[in-house]
Amino acid sequence: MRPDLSRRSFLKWSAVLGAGAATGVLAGSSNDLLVPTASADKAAAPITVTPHVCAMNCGGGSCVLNLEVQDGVVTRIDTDQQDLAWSPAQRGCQRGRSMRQQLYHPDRLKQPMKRVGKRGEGKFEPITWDEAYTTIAANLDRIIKKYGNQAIFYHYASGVLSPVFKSWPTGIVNRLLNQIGGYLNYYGTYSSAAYSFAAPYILGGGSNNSVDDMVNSRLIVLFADNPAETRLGGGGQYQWYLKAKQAGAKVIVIDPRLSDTAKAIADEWIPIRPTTDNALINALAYVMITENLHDQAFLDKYCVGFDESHLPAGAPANSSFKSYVLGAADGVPKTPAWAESITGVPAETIVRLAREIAGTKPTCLIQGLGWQRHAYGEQPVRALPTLAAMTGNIGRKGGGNGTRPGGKSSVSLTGFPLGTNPVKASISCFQWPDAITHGTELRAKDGLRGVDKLDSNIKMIWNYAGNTLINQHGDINHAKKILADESLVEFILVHDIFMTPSAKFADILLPDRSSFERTEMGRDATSQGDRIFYTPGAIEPLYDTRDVYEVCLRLAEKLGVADKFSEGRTMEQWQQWMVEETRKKTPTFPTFEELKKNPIIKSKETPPTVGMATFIADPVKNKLATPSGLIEIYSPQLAKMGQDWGLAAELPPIPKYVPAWEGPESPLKEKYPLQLIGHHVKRRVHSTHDNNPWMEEVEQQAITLNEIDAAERGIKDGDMVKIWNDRGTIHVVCRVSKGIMPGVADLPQGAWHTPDKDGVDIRGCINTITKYHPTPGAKGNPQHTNLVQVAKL
Amino acid sequence: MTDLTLPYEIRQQVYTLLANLFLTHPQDPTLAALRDPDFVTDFPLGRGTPDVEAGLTKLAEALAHDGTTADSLKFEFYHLFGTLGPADAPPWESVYLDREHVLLGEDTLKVRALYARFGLAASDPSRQPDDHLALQLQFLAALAARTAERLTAGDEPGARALLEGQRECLEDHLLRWTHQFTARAESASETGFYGALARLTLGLLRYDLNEVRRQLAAPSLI
Repeated sequence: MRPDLSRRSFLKWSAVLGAGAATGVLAGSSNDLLVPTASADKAAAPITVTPHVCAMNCGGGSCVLNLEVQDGVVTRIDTDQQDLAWSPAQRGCQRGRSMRQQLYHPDRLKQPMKRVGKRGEGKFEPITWDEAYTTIAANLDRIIKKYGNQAIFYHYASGVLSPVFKSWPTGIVNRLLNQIGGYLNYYGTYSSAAYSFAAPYILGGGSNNSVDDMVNSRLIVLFADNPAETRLGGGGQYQWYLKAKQAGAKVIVIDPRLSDTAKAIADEWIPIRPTTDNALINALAYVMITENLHDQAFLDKYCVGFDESHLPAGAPANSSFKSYVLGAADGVPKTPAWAESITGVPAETIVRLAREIAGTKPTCLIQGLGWQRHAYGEQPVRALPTLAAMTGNIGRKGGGNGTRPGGKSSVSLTGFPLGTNPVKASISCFQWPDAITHGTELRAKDGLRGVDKLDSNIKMIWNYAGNTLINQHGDINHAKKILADESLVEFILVHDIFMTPSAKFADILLPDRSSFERTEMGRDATSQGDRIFYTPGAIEPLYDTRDVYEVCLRLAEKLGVADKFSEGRTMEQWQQWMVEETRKKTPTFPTFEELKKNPIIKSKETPPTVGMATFIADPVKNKLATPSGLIEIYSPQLAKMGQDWGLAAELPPIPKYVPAWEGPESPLKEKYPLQLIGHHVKRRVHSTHDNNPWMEEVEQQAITLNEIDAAERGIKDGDMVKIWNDRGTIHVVCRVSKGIMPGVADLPQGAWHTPDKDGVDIRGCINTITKYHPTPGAKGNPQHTNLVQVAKL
Repeated sequence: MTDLTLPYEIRQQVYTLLANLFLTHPQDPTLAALRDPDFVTDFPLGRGTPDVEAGLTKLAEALAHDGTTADSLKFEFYHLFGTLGPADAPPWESVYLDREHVLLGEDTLKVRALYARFGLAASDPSRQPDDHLALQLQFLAALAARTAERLTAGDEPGARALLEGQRECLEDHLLRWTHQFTARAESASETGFYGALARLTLGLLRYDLNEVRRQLAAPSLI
């Protein structure tokens, strides 16, 4: 080879570097990542197929992902192809099948780290695991001693979903916290706060028909429900919607957007202004009542509060649902014309829809979770079951009770044992900013449960696999300000696999393992053919990551509760324990050894179930869990709560239309004329997959405007636009469409908040401009309730 | 008289230096050595080629800035190369060449197979995948050192096989992605240090592929 220079000159150069040799400039040996191997001539490693499941929280479909693994590397992801009549193939959707991009994303968190900049700035330094454990344990100990266990908040999170490794409060962290005195808990979820609060008041926990019963429906009306984008995998509910359509059901979709569900299966799309669904349902009831299309016999037998003669004792005159609809109390009959002015749905459409629903038996009325993000989502959650009762569809094959599609009752897997939380206090999942700034002032009317008042504000947040600290919470700029103040929350612990907007607010940030690097275990029977799975990690865990069980075990050691925490078991031994405990209740459940051999076991055929059937058969003997044991269209409990909390108008005992504070009738519309919603987009599961390049190809993050609104603003398809209100500003690309109600804009939720130097979000995160305004009953998140303006940039 | 082993000794040292600089952020003694005027004056490889000269000049410029300190380079290193997570200039081959642009892709397995043919392997590929730039540079350094040994022993076929390995690593791997890596490092390097280091590395790899090819075409190595 050509000599570049003389040996003398080279030695001189070497000597320059030699000065640093001791510290590693040329100290090859200490940095040597290449080692001798004996396998010089070995044949290429064979490809094995490892069954696994998708652990995303799209609704718990747990679709099957068959991982092709070669030499310890997942090289390809295939999926289930076994279609059974009673159980569609558990095919992964585009998100599950692009999981390699999550697993091997270059941006994965690789080692534990501590914050070295201002909180939220995103400046971190790597530390050892021992330093991380020591710091976390010291803060837990200090904060509990100084403020008490109510100062520790386990934050709502849904990034990890299986009975063992689960970020909802049924997980490993909760066991540890329970063993060191407990923690401030939360109730409700960001997905279903209004639903889980309100539905029991009318139905007392009465279940709906299983989703596979939809094939028996003649008419299906979907309100705020979009499974073709949210739960389209073979393990999700949508496959049964398709089967119902194929079986001949007529499908009507009521949604501000022409959703993929509407495009794929609707015979008719009825666009509606967000937050006004209750007005539509009231007007449907008006048509049925005035045309005598309703099932009076059903209402008389099974319901409380439909009309004046069935009001519970103590209810004032004219407080029944019928009186409200006919305008007896407020002088406003809820006519189709009245509803048209509010909802934007033409009166003649409302009349036709009412007659069709009342005249078609059986009709299945389904509510999605879109209402959960309305200012007064508690109302339509009860209004649709009222309509189901008025049409006599409850407890009927092919009908249903107007709630979410049901599952089949089957034995549940015994979960990881949590123990008991000595702290009885809980707040709504959405309400933590209040519990940080003035927790001790919160009372029952503010959503505090379990105690009369808190002893301390929140001083520590433990956030395992979640992004609701910042990204998925309402009014990010408000949340940031609170979290950045280190005198309020003194310590924030986050585990994640990526540097999410929430992770940036950690004081200690721990790299978690992804689902393919740990055992996923569970029983999924929510909507599909029942399935049991036990799928150990497909590959060696990557980087210097630890799963949450190991983290908690090491912390338990530091805190002196290791024996109590582990009971001498490894994680695998806990999994075996869970299977054995399940078998004590259900001896037919497979043994741990059987599961290890056959990691995904599908069920035998079982018929669809009809919800509330025993109640319908004998309502005296099989009472619902309401005070009267009947369907409570008028809820005396809610009447009292509304009075006690000073919220009678916002939390009425019957489902009323309550105009949203940022809805179509708000005076703020003059300044901000567009209603902005943020639907759940098929490219993401909440904020998961926002950094997945394939998913960006599936659907670029963009706001959608109706062509009329776009033309008024001189906006063309593909233009960059500015979206703003008093809470923040977003710059994002605009799609112009006919497929959205005029006056409504849609910016899909879940994009990662990315502020520029002026605080303008340049990724399109809707929560930059949503409002922190808990709903009156559930204290839930109203993130579809926003007024904004949009202009061309 | 021709110094048979000198070129390979130079390569071994230069590639070891670069591997170390892409593996950990520099401390003060290293920076002092790099700031020594003789480091550039006597830099022993690829002189006169545009990328190498540009890289050396920019490196010296970056090192002359007040803002270029061990501390600032530490955070720049973290953000460029994904120490904490997000990587503005991912230093792994498969991120650029795999059909899904991920770590541990099919190209990683090809790099693994190349190392194995020469009796080498990444020590812990789950922690640091095989196709990290620093590992590939270490591979080149190791093969250069072995080439010098074989030439000293008069083993021409052995030396040729090692040169063929270096050619393959350069042509089939490093030079298929380091231009993209360099562009990303240059655009995201605030001090300019890592942009210059990437440019220098790219220049050396390009220069060296020509040299290795020339050598392999020669009738005799010794």
